[in-house]
Amino acid sequence: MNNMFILANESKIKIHFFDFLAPIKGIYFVGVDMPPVIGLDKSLKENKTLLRSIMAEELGHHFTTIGDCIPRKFYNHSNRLYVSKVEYKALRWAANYLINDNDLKIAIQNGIHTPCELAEFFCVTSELINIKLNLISSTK
Amino acid sequence: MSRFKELRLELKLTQEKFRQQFNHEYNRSYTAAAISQFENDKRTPEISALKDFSDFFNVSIDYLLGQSNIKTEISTIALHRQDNLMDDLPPEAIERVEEFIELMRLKYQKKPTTK
Repeated sequence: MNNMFILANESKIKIHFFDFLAPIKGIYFVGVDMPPVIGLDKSLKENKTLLRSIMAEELGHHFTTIGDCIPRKFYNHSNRLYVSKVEYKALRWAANYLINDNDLKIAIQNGIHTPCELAEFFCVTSELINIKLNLISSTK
Repeated sequence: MSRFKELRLELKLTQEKFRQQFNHEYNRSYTAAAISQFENDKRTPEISALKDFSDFFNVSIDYLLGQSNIKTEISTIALHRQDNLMDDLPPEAIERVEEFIELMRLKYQKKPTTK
């Protein structure tokens, strides 16, 4: 977790906790003449797994979508498909960042098999585990 | 001053130049009188045109209509949500996000925009 804060700090990303309303749990945005900002819902402080996963995903946005335009149109239907593609890129980044190939191999060799168990082991959401498993199977 | 005029002036376009450019880019046929009415808040463009105007000026429709003060000079925004990505966000949740963006803008933006 600390590594992520260090990485954010090095990348000059500002991190703030804020009371967002459901269903929003996190936000990443870049404005004009200001540093990139990651906003995290305060409720995440109570949920380490979710905090790690969402924080990594927002960092993923920074490293995968910077310069891209998903401006105000985010709320429009026509851009949802584009958004989900961008989201997927960020998720992929997060999965690769939080789950190291070698650690995953070791975990599986040690009998941690199901996505649920793996999620608990890596302290991430099972969504990220599934993405990671898919990534690994498609690179082989 | 209406947002339309304000935004056009920011682009340093005359009303006529703006009209031609906009009509051309978005395949519209607004007359000079119509543009003038928009700028003087005497008439609101139809919904489909609002989308084009917001695209042209690169601001949100809310900003265009004066409903929001966040111009959204934002190049990238990504929200993490815990539900179906395809559902519409509740307006209150969007408001809260805008509040956060504005707060951050006030805190970090180097040149405070005079408004």
